[in-house]
Amino acid sequence: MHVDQIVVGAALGDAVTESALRIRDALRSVVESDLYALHVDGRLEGDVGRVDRYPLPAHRSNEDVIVFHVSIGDARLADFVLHRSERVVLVYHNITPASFFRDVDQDFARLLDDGRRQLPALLAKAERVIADSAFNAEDLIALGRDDVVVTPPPLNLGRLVDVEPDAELTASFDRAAPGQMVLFVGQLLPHKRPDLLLGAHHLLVANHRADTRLVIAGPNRNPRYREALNRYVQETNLDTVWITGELSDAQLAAFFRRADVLVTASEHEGFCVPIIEAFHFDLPVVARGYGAIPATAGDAAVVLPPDMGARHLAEALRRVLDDDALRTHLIDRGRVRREQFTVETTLAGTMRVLRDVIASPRGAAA
Amino acid sequence: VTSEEGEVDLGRVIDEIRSAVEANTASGVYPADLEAQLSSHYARLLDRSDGRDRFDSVRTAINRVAELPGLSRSRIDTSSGIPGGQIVHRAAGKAVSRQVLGIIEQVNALTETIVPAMRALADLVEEPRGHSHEDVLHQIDTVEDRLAEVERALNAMTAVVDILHASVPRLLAYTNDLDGLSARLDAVEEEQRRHRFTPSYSSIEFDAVSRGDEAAVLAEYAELADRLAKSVPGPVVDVGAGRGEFLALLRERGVDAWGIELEADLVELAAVRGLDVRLGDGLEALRDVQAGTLGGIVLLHVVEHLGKNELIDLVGLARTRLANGGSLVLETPNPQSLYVYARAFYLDPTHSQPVHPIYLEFLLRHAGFEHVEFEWTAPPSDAERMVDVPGDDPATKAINENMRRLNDLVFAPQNYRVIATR
Repeated sequence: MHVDQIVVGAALGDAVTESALRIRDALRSVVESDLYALHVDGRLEGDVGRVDRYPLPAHRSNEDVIVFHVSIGDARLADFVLHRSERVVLVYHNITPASFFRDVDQDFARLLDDGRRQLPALLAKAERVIADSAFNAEDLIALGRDDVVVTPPPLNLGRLVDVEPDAELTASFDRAAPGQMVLFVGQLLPHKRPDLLLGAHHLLVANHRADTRLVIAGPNRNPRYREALNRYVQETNLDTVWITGELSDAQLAAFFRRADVLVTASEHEGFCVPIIEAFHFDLPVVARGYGAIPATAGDAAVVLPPDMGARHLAEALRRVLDDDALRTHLIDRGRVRREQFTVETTLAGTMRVLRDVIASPRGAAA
Repeated sequence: VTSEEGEVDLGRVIDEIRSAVEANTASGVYPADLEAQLSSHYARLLDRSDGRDRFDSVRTAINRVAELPGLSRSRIDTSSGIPGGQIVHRAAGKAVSRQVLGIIEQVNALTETIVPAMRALADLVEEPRGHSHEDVLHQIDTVEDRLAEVERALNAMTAVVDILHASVPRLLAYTNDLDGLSARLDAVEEEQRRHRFTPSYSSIEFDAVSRGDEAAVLAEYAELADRLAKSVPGPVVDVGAGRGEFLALLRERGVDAWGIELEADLVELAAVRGLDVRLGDGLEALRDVQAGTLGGIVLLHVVEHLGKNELIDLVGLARTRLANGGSLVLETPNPQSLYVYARAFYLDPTHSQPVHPIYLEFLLRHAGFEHVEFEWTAPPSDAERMVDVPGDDPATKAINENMRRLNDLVFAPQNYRVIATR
């Protein structure tokens, strides 16, 4: 029996890809299993197949299974899955609302719209549906699917702790960044609201702590947006902001070790991996209560109500940087919280569903 | 913020953050409209004010290209009006599928490459004018970067075009083969169209000639209707109900009955008479009936119109649709009567073949009917028979015996009727 997975793009460090690789490894002890993607990062060539080389229908039976990871939309990929005769399991990682991108990247906004449009047909075809947070499950429930299984993505969120931090970067901190460091980790995209972080940082530096650094660490997915952010930094003379671009694991580990607080102003998150990663580094977290963030952070972070903006972020950062009792409390809670997302626990949740599908032939499923 | 147990209350921390922001805003430390300022600032940074309308049309055109569905083998029509034609078309496709798919793949790849290249070009010309000298310098850098991007895309495009170019001779060779196959199939389909039976007269007009007047028909089947009225355990379906004569007989006897008929004009005629005759194919209508519910299925002069497979399907299907004790009644020309061939069978051009009673009995028993009874009906009039030669001598007797045998063979009853009960 074959249980193969399909993701839109396979890239090292990408949460969807990483979770799919772990699921594949676990599946291989039960059935034959491969991972396919429409776009494959060169470093994964050979390990991840391209969808255009997906085995022909003649080599698959209708008892075999396709596990389709839905993140951004791709009409061709959805068509491909819809026209195959294998059974389908959907893993829904959330589709960011296109409205966040309409001003910045119309093409990407269109892809996201496509993704939403294809969802009902995919849901109708899927035998089982997994969402990686209760927040994500709401999208599917709104479309009439009442049997969604919520289980967090099987990721090793503590993996960066074991990575040797980049020595050169660590050495440069003392020279270039002597003060406290506020870290944001995530793609440089509009819905993550890095503009609010810049505004908050501006207040923090101007009124409270002049030597604080803001590090915005993550791949830049849209040159136009990156350029606009840069111009803002220049215009406001914020010389304590560091927009890093894409980082290696060793560089990211160096930032996590050096930082004093992790912050995110994001208004849309399907899970928000960096929060749990920060817990592994004993970092306090300040976030805003959007999407899956409250459910992921639990009682282990300062989660501001959604109506709070840049001024409140500045005040919250100041508190977390100053208040040792609060820091200790957050760090203790984070240590407890991170244990709920170990790779063993989360992988078991996904595999329970997949084992059930493997054990129940077509038609027998309830 | 710590409670008596030394626990931190995060709810209180957030309340305090709110109060601190309010205090700092009131005292002017934090600008009250900071969030609004940020929003408008970003809107300005992201705004492309000049030439936007002009370039929007370029974008729209490119988007239209991008939204074209990719090439796919599945979009080639393989339908055919003749049985097996579709298989030939599909097989022809399969025979060259590796090449067709290869080319489709490359053309799709080409499209995928062209669209981003066009987008990059659109971005390039759309670049907003800078507001300051530094901005302009910065934008020149960006433009150069983008130019390099376009160059890379064009190089990739050229590579795909080369591959495509190399595969053209092979594509042409296969196209020739396919053309040959398609042309042959077209010829066969044209031939089939010429042989399709499309009479200019109506079924009503022809029935009057082929089946005789209605009074005679009513008399012929009255006795059968009597018997069915006494025995059927449920509703009766008359498949090929024609003008509805038999349905009328059943209705007179209080039997719940409806008919199915292929010819629309006959269905209308039946409706005028208040009979329940539905337009459609008999086999399909039976498939739609719930299994085990019918008291009787009657096909009077229908099976000789069916194809070989249809007849087998019909018998099997009828068996499943009848209730216990229900009967399948079939009447058809008797191929054991030579008279039938001379006078009746070929009168109707829509007859496909006579059905031999021994074959029909075999089919019925094979389908699981346990009781199968035969009746021979419509014997040719005695006046048609060859008369005996007068005399009593052995030669005359022998001649008359031979004449009798010949009479039996030639003038056997014209029809036979099978009543198969489950």
